[in-house]
Amino acid sequence: MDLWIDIQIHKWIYAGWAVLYVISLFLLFKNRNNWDIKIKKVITLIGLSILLFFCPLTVKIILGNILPGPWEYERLSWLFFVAPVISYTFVKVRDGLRRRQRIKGIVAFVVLCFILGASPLFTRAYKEAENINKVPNYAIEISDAIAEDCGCYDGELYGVRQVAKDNKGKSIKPKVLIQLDEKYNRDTGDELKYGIRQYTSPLILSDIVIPKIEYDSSFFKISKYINLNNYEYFVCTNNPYLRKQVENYGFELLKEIGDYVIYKNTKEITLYFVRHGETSANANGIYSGSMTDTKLTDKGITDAKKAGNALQDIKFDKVYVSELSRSNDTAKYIIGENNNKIPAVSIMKLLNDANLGALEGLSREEVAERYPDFNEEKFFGVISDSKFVSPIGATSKYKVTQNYKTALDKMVTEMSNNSKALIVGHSSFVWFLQAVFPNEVSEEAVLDNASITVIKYNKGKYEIEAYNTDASQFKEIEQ
Amino acid sequence: MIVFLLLFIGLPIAMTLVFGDKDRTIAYWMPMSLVIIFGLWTVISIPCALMQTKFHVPLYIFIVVMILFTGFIVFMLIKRRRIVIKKVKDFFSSDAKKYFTNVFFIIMLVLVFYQAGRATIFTPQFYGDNKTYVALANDIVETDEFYVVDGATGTEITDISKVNTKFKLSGWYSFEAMLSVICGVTPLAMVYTYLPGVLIIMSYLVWWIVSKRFFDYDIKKMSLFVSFMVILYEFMNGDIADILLNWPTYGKHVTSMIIMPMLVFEWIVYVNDKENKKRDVFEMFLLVLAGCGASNMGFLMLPLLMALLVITDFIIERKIQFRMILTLFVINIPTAAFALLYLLN
Repeated sequence: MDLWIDIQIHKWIYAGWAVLYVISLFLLFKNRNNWDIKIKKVITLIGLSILLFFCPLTVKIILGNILPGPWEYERLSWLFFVAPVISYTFVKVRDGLRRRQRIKGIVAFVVLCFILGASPLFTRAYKEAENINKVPNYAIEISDAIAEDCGCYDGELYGVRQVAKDNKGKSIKPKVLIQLDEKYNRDTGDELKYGIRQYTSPLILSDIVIPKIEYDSSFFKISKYINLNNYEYFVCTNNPYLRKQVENYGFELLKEIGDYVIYKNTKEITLYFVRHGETSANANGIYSGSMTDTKLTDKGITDAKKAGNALQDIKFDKVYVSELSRSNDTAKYIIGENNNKIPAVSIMKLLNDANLGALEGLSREEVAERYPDFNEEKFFGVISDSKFVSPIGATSKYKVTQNYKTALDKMVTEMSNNSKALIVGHSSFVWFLQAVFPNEVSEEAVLDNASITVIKYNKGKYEIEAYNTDASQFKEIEQ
Repeated sequence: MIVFLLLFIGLPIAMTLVFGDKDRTIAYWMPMSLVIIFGLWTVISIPCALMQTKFHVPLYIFIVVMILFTGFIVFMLIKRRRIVIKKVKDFFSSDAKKYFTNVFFIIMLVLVFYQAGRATIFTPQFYGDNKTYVALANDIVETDEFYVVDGATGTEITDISKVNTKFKLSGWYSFEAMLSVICGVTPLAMVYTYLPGVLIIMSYLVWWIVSKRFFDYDIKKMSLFVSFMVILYEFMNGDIADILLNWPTYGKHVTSMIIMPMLVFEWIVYVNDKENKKRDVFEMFLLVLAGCGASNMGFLMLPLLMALLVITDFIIERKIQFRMILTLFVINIPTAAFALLYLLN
């Protein structure tokens, strides 16, 4: 069946063209000695091409290993020269007819083409271009509104807009989510999404399909479909239920354009991450992950208090800790030093440290002895490897990173605009930092006990403001 | 607009006046000029893209080379002024009359221009792969960098090794970007409004010159042949017609609809004519280079086509010519280079 699809006769209407082509080839073959000496070469060339196209050895074994995908076999039909062969044959056949029959022949050819072409004439759905860029006007208006708001263009070079850069020298590329009523929608969908992407290159586009039957109801919850926190702009259908849900997320209306509305993420949240203080396991060089619950040492308590002292004037609207006691205890000492009224601590399983598998409870010497070939990549994978399975039963870096990502997304959703949160967690948080801030946090980076890291959720994206600072360094930065 | 017209009409006219002959008329030099310009861009841009230089580096090199090339053409025009003036006179006194008094030729022109105009003014509702291709050209122009983002989504790519090889080894997207820069329009306007009509007309020009050999320079039959092709493509369904009418600015259109038929034409000239063999080989070399650069399918399809042409000659003539085999290898040097780069990337 693949081959039939490849040569496009899986639909009867296409088969008509194939029949016309075969008849042309037959006529060429029949008149090879009368029409032109070169016809023999043409027939041989096309015959060889067809042989190549239908030969399982060449197609499946040889070409199949070279071509990027099975659908690319179709490209071999370029060697068939379908339209030229039919046209040539028709001109030659017409030459052999009498004068009156020639006109009838041309009419018959056009009528035949029209019958065979009836399907594409109605399905191609040509539409007059609205502007020189061939992007729908509403897509241009939406693009321009977002581009103007985020300032992603700065001046012109060679008469073409240039992408602006932020103070760190990075291109300003806002993340935009587009809601589509249905995928591959002829009237909107692709035109809207790809129109915006092609017209305004700096936008990082994603799309989500939410059918009208779903969102046009008071029971509709957008969180069932997507977490809007990861986006800076949201373009959606102008529907009251949909708009209400988006506004609940902390998005503000930027502009209404025709059937669409553009929302802008305005939420700003500051997250203060503190790694727990030193534990007895830390002091003795023992591997302790989520399966080993150890207590803080005196130094750990002192460091936690120091961190709390550095953070004493910050009014936390939320406090999140993992399930492990070292995290809970550190949070208590930090809160104890704070000058403001702090809400109850929320325990979040997603903040738990990585499970270190067979390494749990082992000392560095024991690990060196049992696993002489120990290295992080081998036992925990790399951050981007979603399929990694640890040979020692540990949680992969990818999984840990995803857990932290989900945890932070949940926090951002729960918290109101301009609020602050304290998070007390574990050293594996550095993997999340490496994944989200590859330019700021190196692959060799670590988080020290009781160190403070400040992350800002700024209108749809995370920014790192301070990393692995101790109490005194943090105070200096704050001042 | 002036630069665009100079590139796609002015240069072919000048080339025709300097290098034209019975076969290589304006119909030949229009697509051949595109092949020369694009071949030049491929040689300049692909190393720059692989080395991740700024986009303006190959752009400036290209502009300098094009100025030198244009200077050479102007010099040749002056040097051969007598022949040039004679060619112009001959055209207006003989050829123009012969063509423009032929009803079939006029009908063909109307049909071709109708189709090119229709495909330019009306656009299919789906963008197809252009969602990536045009966005790539846009990114190049707007950031002055090669392939810094994922074409479909716009996500930044920090590592060139993560860019799809087909983008790195095809100079077509950056060619569209370059054209838009030197013509002073956005890539979108260049790809969707300026180029389609020109490229559709070029596709028919190629078959016009091929038909000269099949209809023995009979204008009426050649016009009928091209007219029937226009009608066929207008009504035909499937990828073959779509590549011409819906996606004329895809690299694969240039390879399949312009370069491959031109290679067939060059091969016919090479096999049948006894003069200028080296020139034929050089022109085929250029075509293969441009074909490989325009689409990754080029470096699979073009050697395949050339090999089939050699085998065909062997089957019909019943003799192996060492010269042909050698030619096959020489003109496929770009294929080997691209294949090697593909494997290394």
